[in-house]
Amino acid sequence: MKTILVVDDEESIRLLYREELEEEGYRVICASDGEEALRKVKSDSPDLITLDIRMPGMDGIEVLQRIREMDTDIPVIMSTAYGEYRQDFNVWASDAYIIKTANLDELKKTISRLLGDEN
Amino acid sequence: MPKNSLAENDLFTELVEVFDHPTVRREGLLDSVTGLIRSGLHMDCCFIRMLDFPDTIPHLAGPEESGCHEAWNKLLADEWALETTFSGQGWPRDFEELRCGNRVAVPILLRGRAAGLLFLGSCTDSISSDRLRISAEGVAGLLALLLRRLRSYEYLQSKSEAMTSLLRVSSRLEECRNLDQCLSGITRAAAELTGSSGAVLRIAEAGSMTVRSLFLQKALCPPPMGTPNDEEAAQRAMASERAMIINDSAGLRTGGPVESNLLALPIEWEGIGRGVITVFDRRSAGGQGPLAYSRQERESLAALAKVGAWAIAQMRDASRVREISRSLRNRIKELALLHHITRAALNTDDAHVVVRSLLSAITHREGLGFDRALLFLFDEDAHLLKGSMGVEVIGWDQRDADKDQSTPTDGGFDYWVRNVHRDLDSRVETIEVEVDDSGGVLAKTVLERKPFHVKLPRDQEMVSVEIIREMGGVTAFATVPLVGGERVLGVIWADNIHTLRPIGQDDFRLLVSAGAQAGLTVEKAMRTRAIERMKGQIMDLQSRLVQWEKLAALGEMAATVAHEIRNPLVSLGGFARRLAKMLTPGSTESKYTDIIMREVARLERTLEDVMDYSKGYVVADMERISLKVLVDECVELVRENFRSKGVRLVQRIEEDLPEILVDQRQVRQAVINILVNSGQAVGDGGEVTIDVCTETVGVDRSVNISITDDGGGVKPGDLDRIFEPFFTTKGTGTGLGLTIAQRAISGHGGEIRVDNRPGVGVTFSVLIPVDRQSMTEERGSVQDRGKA
Repeated sequence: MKTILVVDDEESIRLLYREELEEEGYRVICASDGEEALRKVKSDSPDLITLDIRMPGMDGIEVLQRIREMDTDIPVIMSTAYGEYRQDFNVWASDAYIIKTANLDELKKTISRLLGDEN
Repeated sequence: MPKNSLAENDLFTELVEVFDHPTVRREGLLDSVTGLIRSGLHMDCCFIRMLDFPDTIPHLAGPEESGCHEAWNKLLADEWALETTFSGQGWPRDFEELRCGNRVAVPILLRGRAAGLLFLGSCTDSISSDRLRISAEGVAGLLALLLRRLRSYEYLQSKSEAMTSLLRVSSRLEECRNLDQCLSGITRAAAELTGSSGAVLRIAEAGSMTVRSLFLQKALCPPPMGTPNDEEAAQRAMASERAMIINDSAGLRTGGPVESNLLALPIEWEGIGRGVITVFDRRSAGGQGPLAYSRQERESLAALAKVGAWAIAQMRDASRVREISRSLRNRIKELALLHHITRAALNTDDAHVVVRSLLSAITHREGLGFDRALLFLFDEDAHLLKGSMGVEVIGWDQRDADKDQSTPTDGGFDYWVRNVHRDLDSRVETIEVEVDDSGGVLAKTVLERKPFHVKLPRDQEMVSVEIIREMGGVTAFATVPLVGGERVLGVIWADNIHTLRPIGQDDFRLLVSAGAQAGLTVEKAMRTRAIERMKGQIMDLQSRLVQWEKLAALGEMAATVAHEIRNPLVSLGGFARRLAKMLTPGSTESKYTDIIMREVARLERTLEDVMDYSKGYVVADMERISLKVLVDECVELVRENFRSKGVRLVQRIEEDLPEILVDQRQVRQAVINILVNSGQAVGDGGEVTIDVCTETVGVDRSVNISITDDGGGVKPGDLDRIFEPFFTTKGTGTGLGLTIAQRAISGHGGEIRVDNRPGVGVTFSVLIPVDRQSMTEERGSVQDRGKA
């Protein structure tokens, strides 16, 4: 079972992602800020991370940089409320960029693609 | 010798009767009176000599040898001698020389002065000298009374005659229509009143005398007028300011062809100035002469001069009244004209409409009534006058034919403009005239900013053969510059090509004033337009500024707002979906969750639009994609939206469509935005058609996605604004849909064309070049990766 780390400061989003992705058959762990996220990356070695950008404290872009500095190849999906960051050079280090929407189909497809699932 | 003589009373009665006779005349009067006195008093000799009467033949009776005759004749021979006898007491000193026995001479006293002499002589001694004297004095006294009465009568008679003829003259003068007619009437009357062969009226002008009027009886040829004689008399009269009578013209004449007497009277008439009226060659009714001029002619002439002055003043008053009424009439015309023009100007700020209205007024019957009016506009840069518009009254035949049904003037100005005028625009537009120094009248009108009234052949050198031919062979016309502000805007041409009615001074003047007024009006219209345009621009700028401010604020807020709104939306929508999965499809709860999901989706779309717009467009993810797939996706995405609105979607998609390299999210967004916009425009029961094909123009190949609706089209005023951000006619929506679409497509080097058919619908054609894909790629790579 693949583990997905959902990083988002909004509790309801974390809950939604968790339930939807668990339904898809993933193990889902969550982090509500950058520090926690980095800790969990180390402790839980997730297979994929969905990372919100705008968060209190350390933002998603910095978290992404730190993850990359850890010399890991964990796929990271930037999942954000706005599209501007798509043009941010730093975001290029991520594997995908998704604008958050109530319909999680695109997210699920992307996760599935990145994890190399057959289905 | 009869002893019984008539009683003196009988003589007196007879004398009174003679004087009282209705046809009494001076001629022969004294003869008969002398005869009566001699026989009445039984005298041998009687004569009367009056200073102002024709000479009388002494009535002598008695024997020749008495010596009376000789003595009387001697006395009478010398008038001068006679006059001297009246000096003193009036008794001839040399009566002693008379050999007649009894004799007496008594003066005839008028107003205390001797005006004549009555002489009585008797060769017998039968009458005492005292008795003789008493009889003589009595008769002389009566004669004096009778003569005075005769003089008064004659004076009244002559005055009344003079008055009658003056009255006749003045009534004749009253009918004169102009000054020249009046003056020639005066000269004619002068000749007639004084019994002259001719009369000349001279007026002093700039130091010399100019002949203003001349009258000659036919018989007189060659006319004496202008001979040094006549002129010199006039000049002398003028210099001395006194009437001048020359009855011995030889003394004055310096070689003139006609020998005649002259009477020259200085005059001063208000409105004419000073001058001299001269009559010459006075003759009797039977043509005998020349007769001398006397005080009487001078007085007649002076009276005539007064009548003349009065007549001239009258005429000037009359002509002033005529002038005033004419100018009033013209003023009314002018006002009517200006009313038309101003009304047109009020109703529109279009200078063309104003000018056309002016042209109509120039040709309108209630206006200036020209047959034709044309406007040439001046192109300053090209130095050209170009025919711009023209108005013509339909030919007379046509107009008369029309009259059978309705009179064109009945319907007033508007009817006239609509039905009686014919536009000449297409014919006029072909005319071009160079504005240079070659002196053509149209060029001159522009260069000198002056109106011209051209009459052929008089002004032949001002017009070219070509222009006359172009204008249909017209022989008289007027040109007026149309000056607005500092510039000559054009030239108005007016003529009477059909009726050939001459262009009068009034017509011309009115045309000039109408032109000036129109110039002002046009200028005003132009200024109003400029101000309107500027106002529009300022308002435009202002609203754009507001938009930019909105945008800036949006940009700043976008991140925060998006975060604050999108996240809750994601949760709302996400959990609604989860909920929906647990519910029985078709249940009430399921319907509710559907509504929540749909509304969340709509909110997300709106948010997307605002976000897209606020961040500015950048082509980001270029991908090669099948056009057909892309379009199908778009159609699929709006299908539900259309169905729920009752809009029918027709697809005409070519099979063989190429792949294109685009940011498919952006292009999809553009196509969807247009589709949704069209769907909203048609509403329930409407139809939206999407045609997709490729187009090749020259070497450029593009794909063309055309979206046509039957929603009645865009209001022409709104057409320019539909791509403006925040412009919306719907009341709902952000007004960003089409803006984003246009920006997306132009970012791909393409364009959106709009074919608006008011009342029918609109076609939006999205054109994206196929062969410029590399360019687009470049564009994609140099994108601004700016601030987050």
